[in-house]
Amino acid sequence: MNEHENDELATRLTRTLTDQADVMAGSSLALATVQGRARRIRRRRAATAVVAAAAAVAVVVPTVALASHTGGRPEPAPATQTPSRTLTTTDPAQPKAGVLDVSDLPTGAPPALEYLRSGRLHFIDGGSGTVNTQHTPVAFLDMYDGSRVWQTSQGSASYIEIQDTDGTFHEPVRTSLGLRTNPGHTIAAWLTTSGQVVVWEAGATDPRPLGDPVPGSELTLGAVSGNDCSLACTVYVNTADAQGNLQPWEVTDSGSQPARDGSYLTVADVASNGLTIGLDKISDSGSCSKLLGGGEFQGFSTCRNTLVSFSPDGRLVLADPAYHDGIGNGEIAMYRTDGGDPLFQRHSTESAQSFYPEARWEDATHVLAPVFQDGQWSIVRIGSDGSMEYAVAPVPGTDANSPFVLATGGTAYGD
Amino acid sequence: MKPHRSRSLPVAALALALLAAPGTTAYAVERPHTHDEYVARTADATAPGPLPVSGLPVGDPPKIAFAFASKPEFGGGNWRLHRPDGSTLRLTRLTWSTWAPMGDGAIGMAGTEAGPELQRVTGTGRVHTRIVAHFGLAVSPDHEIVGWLGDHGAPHVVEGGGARHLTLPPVPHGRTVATIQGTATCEAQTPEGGGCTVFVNGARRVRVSTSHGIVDTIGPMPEVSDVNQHGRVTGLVSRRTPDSRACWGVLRAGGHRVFRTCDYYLASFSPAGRRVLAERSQVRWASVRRFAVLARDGRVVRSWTFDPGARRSLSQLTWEDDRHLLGVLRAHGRWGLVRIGTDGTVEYAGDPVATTDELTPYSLPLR
Amino acid sequence: MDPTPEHQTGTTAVADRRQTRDADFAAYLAARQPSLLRTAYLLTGNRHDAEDLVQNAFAKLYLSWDKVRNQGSIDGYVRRILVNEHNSLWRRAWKKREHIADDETLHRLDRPHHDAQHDGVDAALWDVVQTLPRKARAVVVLRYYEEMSEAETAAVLGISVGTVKSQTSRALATLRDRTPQTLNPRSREEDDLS
Repeated sequence: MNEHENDELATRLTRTLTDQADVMAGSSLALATVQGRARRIRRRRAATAVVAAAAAVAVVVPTVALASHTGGRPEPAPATQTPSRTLTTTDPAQPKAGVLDVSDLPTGAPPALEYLRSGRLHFIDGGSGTVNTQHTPVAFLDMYDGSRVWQTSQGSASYIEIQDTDGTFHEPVRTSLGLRTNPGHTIAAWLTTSGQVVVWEAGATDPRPLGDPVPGSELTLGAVSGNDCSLACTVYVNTADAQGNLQPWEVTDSGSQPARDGSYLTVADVASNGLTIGLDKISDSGSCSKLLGGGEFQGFSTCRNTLVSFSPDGRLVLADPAYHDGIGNGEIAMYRTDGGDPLFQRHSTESAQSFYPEARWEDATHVLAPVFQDGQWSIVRIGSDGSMEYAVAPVPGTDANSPFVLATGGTAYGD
Repeated sequence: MKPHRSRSLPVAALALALLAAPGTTAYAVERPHTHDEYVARTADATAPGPLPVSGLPVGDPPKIAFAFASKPEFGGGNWRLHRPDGSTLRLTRLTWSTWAPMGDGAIGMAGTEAGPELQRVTGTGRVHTRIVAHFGLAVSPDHEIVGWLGDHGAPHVVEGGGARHLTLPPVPHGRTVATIQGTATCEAQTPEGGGCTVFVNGARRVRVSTSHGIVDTIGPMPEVSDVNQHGRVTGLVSRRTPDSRACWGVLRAGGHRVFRTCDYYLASFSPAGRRVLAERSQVRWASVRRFAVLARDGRVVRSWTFDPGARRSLSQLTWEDDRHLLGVLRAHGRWGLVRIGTDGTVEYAGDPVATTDELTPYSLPLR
Repeated sequence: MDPTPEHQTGTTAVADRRQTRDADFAAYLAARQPSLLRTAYLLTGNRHDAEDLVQNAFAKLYLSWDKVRNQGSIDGYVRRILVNEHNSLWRRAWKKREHIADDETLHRLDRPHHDAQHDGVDAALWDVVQTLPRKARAVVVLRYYEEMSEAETAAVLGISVGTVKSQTSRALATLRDRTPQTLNPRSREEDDLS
């Protein structure tokens, strides 16, 4: 190929590209638009490595599943458990080690997750806005691209309402309760009332079914792994049959099948590094959970807590009580993925009767949880050293109705 | 590959016509009866429908040869020829843009940094390469003759499974071979049979070089894309102007224009020469957005639209037989060969592969 | 009592600095966005993605404006963000909204190019550019549209000059290969009109 020929082609190329680029004449970006985008990027960066647990939305769901297998017999509150050694600082502002007492905490920064408060959406920069879903919002998911997936309800019916990046809503679709996302927040997953997993990917026009409907009478979403369902993604669905036997299922584009690997009873979460946590055993008085990896990773199991969700970088595991009663969780703990004793445990006591519906990872070492104690709800930030502070100061409320709903999965992991 | 029944008459007719009146342009455009008559024939009877690409069933593998690389590269890859009988042959390391099966092996042209390189791979895996002067490869309808443009505009052909290599009279101002008409062999036999005609596109003219030793200009179309066994060509009838698109048409050997269309570029005839593949873009490797199969009178048999995207494309459309096209489809996280029937059926031709690569692992031959 | 400048509260001073900073940035945005939008279009092939890409690039520039504005090589920096953003969206494999036969491309198909001299060769050339792998396409756009040198292109893409060279020549070979009707200079001068 001689130089002359290349020069000739080069000239043609330059002309062709210049002509084609004229298409953009007339496009223009306003400063405000750029600033808005910058704010969004800054939020994502501030919450870097946040992958919330994405636990099932309603507090009722996991406990119903468990209670039905334990005969529903309540146990006394675990007040007699000795608090484990913790790394809690000796800061006098902190409550007594091992106790989940949120009555008088120092106030820290506001949540780095979006949250609903009495139906109003609060943004990370402190602003707030109205929610224009058709039905009542019960949960929401911030997708990587700024779109949102809302779970809403009307009476006993649940819906999914997708909100595009420009704020417009898709028509509500009828679903069952439950909403999950993958660590990168590029995939949202839910179940139809007939057990069909549906996924929606940020930027797609419409949601689409994944795999085949999962059989079983009680289905709850477990975890979503993968980045892109058009390549490969897996949604875990936890099921129970009429006899009460638990079996997680794997749902992918190729179909749906029981997830036998690891012999879990339920799959709670899958980290982006492949570690998996879930229930291993269930008894009348409690349960055991285990963490498994692959290859030489040993994992661990514990009967002291239920392992709930991985931290964004997959190094820590959030845990709650080994036995769930119907009100809420009276205990919170964190483990390292290499096992052993928990980093800390905090549990409610007779004098500090507190509970929380669910906690979500805010960043690599902190979770946020709406906590109820003494007629008040607050959003509490709990660090991996067990220290606590208010992210949102207490407001009056009743135990049955939390005014706070934290974003499912928080903001997207990474940038 | 079973050769088609010898169709010597059209070639002879062309040869005779040229001999009888040297300098006559054999494909002169006949004045249409009415302007509307010809154009109307190509209007879509029904609007084109979107090509379905979701949940496609998997059908039989292709009936023609194809190439596949599990690790494609830009300008390389581990390409293998897959023959219709299921056997495979390792191809050279270079990506072939244009190629065709030849004998037990294949012949193709690759764009290398040194220029166009012709590569022939025999059934035993032996590779012959040479740098040639011009890009462009053409295959006769029966797959027996492959040609390219060599130095000084002389068309070269390889036939007999690679056993014979002939040079035809040089064509002035030629840029690339467009197509070849001929059956089994270019070697001139009796005046009534054999021989071949190579069509060469230049900047403004099309010229032919025949194995009978004739070189002539045919026109007025500036470009042809294909010729069938009956001697009909698909050609550019009028260039794009500020007010109108380019129009392509089918012209008979006698010179009469059968029809023209301003909606499509006419890419190729079907193997039996009765149907025409029509596309919007002239670039085989760009994703189609709209394409159609036309009957020989220009009527639209079926037309489709396709929405390309960041990871969605349909390209390299090639005839499998007179009722089916094959294409390379990327959709839903998979690359696969797709079979599109003129009856509207769509299926994968063999299992697709799941891959994240932007480089296609499939390559379809020119024919 | 009005605060004199030296008694301005911290908040006011911050607000003033921010205003100047925004004014600077707005000026850069206004001056540079037309060419960046064009480059983005050549990289992405469609208008919506191009606008989105440029928004992201300028947003990231805005976030690091304080660090970058005095360095004098903002153009190169923002082009680097643009190309990396385009590649990283790809790597992360998340799908942007698919486009139904992009509006302006349909228009291009339906309305002939205004410059009739090019005879559709340029349309074919653009089609083939869009079939190039991303890295090669970025090299072609930077070398032949932005007309950057090999060294500048290497710096923006974060690759070696050698890779720029080989990507360029491979891209040109592919362009010729896939559009055999492209000019062949040997026949051009002699081209006849007979």
